[in-house]
Amino acid sequence: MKNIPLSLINELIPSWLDNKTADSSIVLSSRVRYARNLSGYPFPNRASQSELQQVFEMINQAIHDQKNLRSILSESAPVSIDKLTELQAEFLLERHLISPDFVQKSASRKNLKSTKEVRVRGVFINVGETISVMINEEDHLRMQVIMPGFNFKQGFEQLNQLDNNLESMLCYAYSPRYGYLTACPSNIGTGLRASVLIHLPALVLTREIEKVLRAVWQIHFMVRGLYGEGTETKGYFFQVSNTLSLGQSEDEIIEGIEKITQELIAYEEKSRDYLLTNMKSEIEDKIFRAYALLNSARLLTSEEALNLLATVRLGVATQIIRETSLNTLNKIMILLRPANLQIFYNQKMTPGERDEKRASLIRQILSEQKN
Amino acid sequence: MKQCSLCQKPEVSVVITTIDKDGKACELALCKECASKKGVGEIKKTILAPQEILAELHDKISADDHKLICSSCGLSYAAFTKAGRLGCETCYETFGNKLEAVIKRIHGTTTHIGKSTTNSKKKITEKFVIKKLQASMKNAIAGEDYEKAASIRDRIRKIKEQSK
Repeated sequence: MKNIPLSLINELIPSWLDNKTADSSIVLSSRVRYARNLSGYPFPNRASQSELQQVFEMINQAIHDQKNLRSILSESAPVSIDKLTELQAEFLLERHLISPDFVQKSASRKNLKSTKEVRVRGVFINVGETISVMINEEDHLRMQVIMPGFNFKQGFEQLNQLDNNLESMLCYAYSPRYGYLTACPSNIGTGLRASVLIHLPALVLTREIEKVLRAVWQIHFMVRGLYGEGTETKGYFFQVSNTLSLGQSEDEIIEGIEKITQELIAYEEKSRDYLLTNMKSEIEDKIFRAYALLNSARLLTSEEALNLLATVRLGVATQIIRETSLNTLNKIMILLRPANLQIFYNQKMTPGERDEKRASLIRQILSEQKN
Repeated sequence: MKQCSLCQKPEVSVVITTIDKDGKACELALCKECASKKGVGEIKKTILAPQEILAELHDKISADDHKLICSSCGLSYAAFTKAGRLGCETCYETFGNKLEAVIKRIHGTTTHIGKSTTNSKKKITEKFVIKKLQASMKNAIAGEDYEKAASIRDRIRKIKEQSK
């Protein structure tokens, strides 16, 4: 398995990373999700095994009974989380298709006892990996749509359509006063969370980021790292999302996240201009060093690779580096994650082996792209 | 790049605007170190994240909270404050005013605006109930409890008629 053709790599890349929109150098993806529960059943944290199973079957049935849902989702048929290996679950997590919580719970459940042929937790994923529907995560239903670049409108439209289709079949837990009811009271109301994955290297390098993030907090938005709640911000990547789901309509929430994203883009662009005018040689040096390392290193941890990649990304966006493209960097960004790397090479590897394979894969992708 | 007004280090973490003797506004930029020496801390986060609000609840638990129990899922209010998660839709009624205060703190409001749902007849639920009834009818027949089987059959018919 020495040289894998690039075409194969392309096939393995989720379509939401295939970035062609204008703002794509700053905004990587726009994600929206709804939290829903079925009426008449306890939330997953209080439900018995058989109740969870019933919920699972009802949602499964609803998806299969709806022609338009079936055509989008049933290919994935659903993936039963409790049957996945740790590596497979990590793979989905790294691709933002399931939540960290979902992975942990399935791991702990497996340790309890091996249940027979019981399906209680699962996820539907469409072919392009833009839609995922998790069953029996924190809520009975968590559905999300990820769009490449800055595109909340289309993502929300799809999400709403998905929800309408399911809603025509299922009884949701709903109160006229509190809206859609969820296990955590922070999600009630619309059950809608909109989050943007955004790359803000210049704001970090000019040390403006703290000020900006503080302002973001003040207007009830949350800032997190690349992989959601409790994860660190890595490689200048941030996830910004709304914290309030009650008292605002869905459209207002979407408008809110769009507005804050526009402001962050403008602020980041201003900081990039500042860097290029006032610290040009320092920035160029930093970017070319990162690029040289990616092109030559023989061992790369995923954290180091991600940080280097983030710096090179700034270089491509500011046209300091022209040999590679944002699309290529996006591909590397997902393939360098530990589980994705192992699934890609179809072999289990120790961290040391991974660092070597990762470095060689990155060198290969970068050099093939030059030719 | 800005620098600290006191030690000239090229790092600024706090900018304070003060009014001098002549009534003019002047800016004082401080690095982290000088700021903490001067007693100017980081600006406190005035807005708590929902998870922080939920975490705080646990410290204020009272004896009554253990007695307040959801009739539907058996979760006590005390257990809710510990885990930060409710057990079922009925919890929202059971924990009434107490929960309302929490919701108000998190969202700043207690009234939903936006999409609504009408839980009239939903096909899946019916289909599912019928499926379950058919299974228990089979069981009843297998156990030769024909009376029970007949009554289940009637229920199934009724549901099917209603949904037409």
